[in-house]
Amino acid sequence: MSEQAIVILALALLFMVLMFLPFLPGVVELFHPRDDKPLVIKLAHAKEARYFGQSFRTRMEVALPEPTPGQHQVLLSKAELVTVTDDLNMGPSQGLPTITWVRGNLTLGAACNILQEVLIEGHARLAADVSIRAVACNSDFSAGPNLTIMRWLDVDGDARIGASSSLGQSCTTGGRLELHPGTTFQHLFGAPVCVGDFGGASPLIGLREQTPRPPDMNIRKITDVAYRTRSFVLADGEVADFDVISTHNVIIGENAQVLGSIKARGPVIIKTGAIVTGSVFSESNITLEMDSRVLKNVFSQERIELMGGAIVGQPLAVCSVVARDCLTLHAMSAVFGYLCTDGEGVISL
Amino acid sequence: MALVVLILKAIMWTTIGVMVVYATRHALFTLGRLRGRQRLYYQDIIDSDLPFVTVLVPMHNEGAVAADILAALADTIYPSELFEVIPINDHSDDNTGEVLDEYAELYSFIRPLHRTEGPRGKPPALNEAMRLARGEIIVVFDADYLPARGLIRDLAVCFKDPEIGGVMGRVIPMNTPRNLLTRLLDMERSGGYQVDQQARYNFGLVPQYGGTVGGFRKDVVLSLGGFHPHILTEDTELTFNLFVRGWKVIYANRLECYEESPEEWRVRARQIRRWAMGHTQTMLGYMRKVFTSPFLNFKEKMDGALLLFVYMVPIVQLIGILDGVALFFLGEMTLREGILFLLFVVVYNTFGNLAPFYQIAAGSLLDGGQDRIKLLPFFLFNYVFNMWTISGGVASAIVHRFTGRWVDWRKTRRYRKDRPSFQIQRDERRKTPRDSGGGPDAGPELER
Repeated sequence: MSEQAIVILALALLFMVLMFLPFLPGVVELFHPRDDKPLVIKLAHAKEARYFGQSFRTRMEVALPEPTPGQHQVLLSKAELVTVTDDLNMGPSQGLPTITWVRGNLTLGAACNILQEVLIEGHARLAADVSIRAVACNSDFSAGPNLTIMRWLDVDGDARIGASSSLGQSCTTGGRLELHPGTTFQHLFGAPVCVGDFGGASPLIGLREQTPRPPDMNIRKITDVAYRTRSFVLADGEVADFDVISTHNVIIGENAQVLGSIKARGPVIIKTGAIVTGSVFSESNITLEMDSRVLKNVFSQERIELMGGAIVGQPLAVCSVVARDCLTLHAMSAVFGYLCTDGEGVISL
Repeated sequence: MALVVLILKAIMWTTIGVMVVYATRHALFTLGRLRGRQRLYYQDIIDSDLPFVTVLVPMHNEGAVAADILAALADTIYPSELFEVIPINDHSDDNTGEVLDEYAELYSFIRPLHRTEGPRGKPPALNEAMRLARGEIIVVFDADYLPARGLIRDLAVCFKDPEIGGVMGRVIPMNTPRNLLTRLLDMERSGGYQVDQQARYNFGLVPQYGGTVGGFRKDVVLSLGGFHPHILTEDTELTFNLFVRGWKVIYANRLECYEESPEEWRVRARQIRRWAMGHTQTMLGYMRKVFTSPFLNFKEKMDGALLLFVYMVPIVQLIGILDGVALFFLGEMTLREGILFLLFVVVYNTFGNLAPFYQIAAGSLLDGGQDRIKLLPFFLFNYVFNMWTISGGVASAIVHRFTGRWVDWRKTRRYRKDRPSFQIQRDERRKTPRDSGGGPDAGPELER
């Protein structure tokens, strides 16, 4: 074989090797797989606002079917020591060394720091400045100012949380959840969740008669919807008896009514005393001004602000207020159901 | 000769232009998904006022998988008084009908529809079932899918938004470990859903209803005359039919559902060919409407047009390659054009299938995949395979369009023999960045 042929052969061989190199790790992975399992889907997953509390109670009841007073070694997500007591009264600045199951009532003095989960069958009364990891309470719950929940709080009855509290990942109740200024949160659930001394939703003023649709709208034929490629402004006291979809902002004037839902790409302002019987969705901010009402859900890809006296939802029904970035509640506002934000939830001072 | 050269050069420049546009589009999608702001889906909404939902499951000879999906649907948390399942036994000659009847006896909300007359195929089956459906919202699953307990609720809740006409969840292959093809399809799905669909949702473009793990408003589709019985991708057609009439389709990345992917290349080829034909049928019918719809903004029009044209890209590439060869042998490749041609080759080679390599890699990354990314170079073969198969499908669709012939619908083969056992697996490696709100529904309550 000539020298030239050998060089060509060597180059061809080198070319083949270089061509194959990028495939080598893949060939190894194919024949000795390390990452070939299907992605995991939680097939049992179902949205449950009070998941943490319900799950904790179930686990405790399964692990400890007969909770007699004393200490028990139980298997929860791992082996844990659980202390079962009847009523528990703790003085100021104390702690609990184990997960605790209180079969009666719990009273905590000021500045207690509880680094474990607590299950309370009776009422719970916490003084100011208490810090606690997680609480499931089967009756009513009240806490003084500056409560810190590290993970979650779930109450079967009513709950009253003092001012300037931090409510961790989730704070849910089966009854009324009363919050005060300066409190921060991420997920809330209650019937209702309210700020301050909320006296309940007043009956809706009779919804008014239909009025003609403004003539300058594109009407989408399928359902009774008004589609606008500009802003939508409903004048004070007017009634719109259709769903409103706008590619810009929407303003519902004072004491006006929308007998349907609203969807906007821009900001939505529901002015004082206005009523929306459906839901409100926006890609931007949503503001519910004083004493306005939305009977269904409010959802924003940015911020939601409920001014004083604004109410979302109705008694005996569940609806949601979901804001991606920020959710602010002012005094006397209320939501019948669920509040959630990925950003900051705050009760305004 | 000069005119021929001019035409060939024009074709080459057009091809390069098309490639650059698509490469840029997918690069923006990938960057937007990795670094951009992620829009929330509506699954965090809890509402006691839920709509009546009818689930339709078209089945033709699906005896091997029918029981699994019916069992999964029977386990749903959706209120039974607001829920019904209509499994459609579409001219089956295996035991599908018996399986459906067994489940109908067990659950009153399962009401099978046995079709023995009329044309076979998904669109006519859906049309007939929709007329029997009591639900205002229709959710569709293919027979090989396994929905989670909360999936129906999460799909239905988005219709609280008055602008939403359709919703699409995410498909995850369950038979990934079988062979090279299933592993590549798994990665392709990651790129297609985790990156492409979510990015289009993030940017307010045109997310696509995929015909399964999705839903739509019944009255809307009925008012449009139902599904065209001869369109092979009724899902793509519905997507564009909704968009051009002012409705939106929304994508829900966290609403995941298992499917079975093809395990044989010839089955995959038939599937892609059907998609290419159906997509081309839709393109021919909707391209003009996309540009003239008063309900679409400029971004949506552009994305809609590019989405409609996407199955034409392999044909454009094929023509570009032949064109380049012709120019080379005509001696018309100058140094400058040669470099541009090289650039073009590099650009078009970044395409795996309908998603480029970087998009598939980003999808795998977001899904927590580590070693599976090593298979990425194999998409070079997949690319050649897809280019050839899609080109055939597109050509057939164009020919059928002008000859007035219609193509029969053919089902995709199933491979399942036993009930999937992976359902109880737990894989903690998977850490998807929050693309949508979660709520207090994740993680054990005692995890430290």
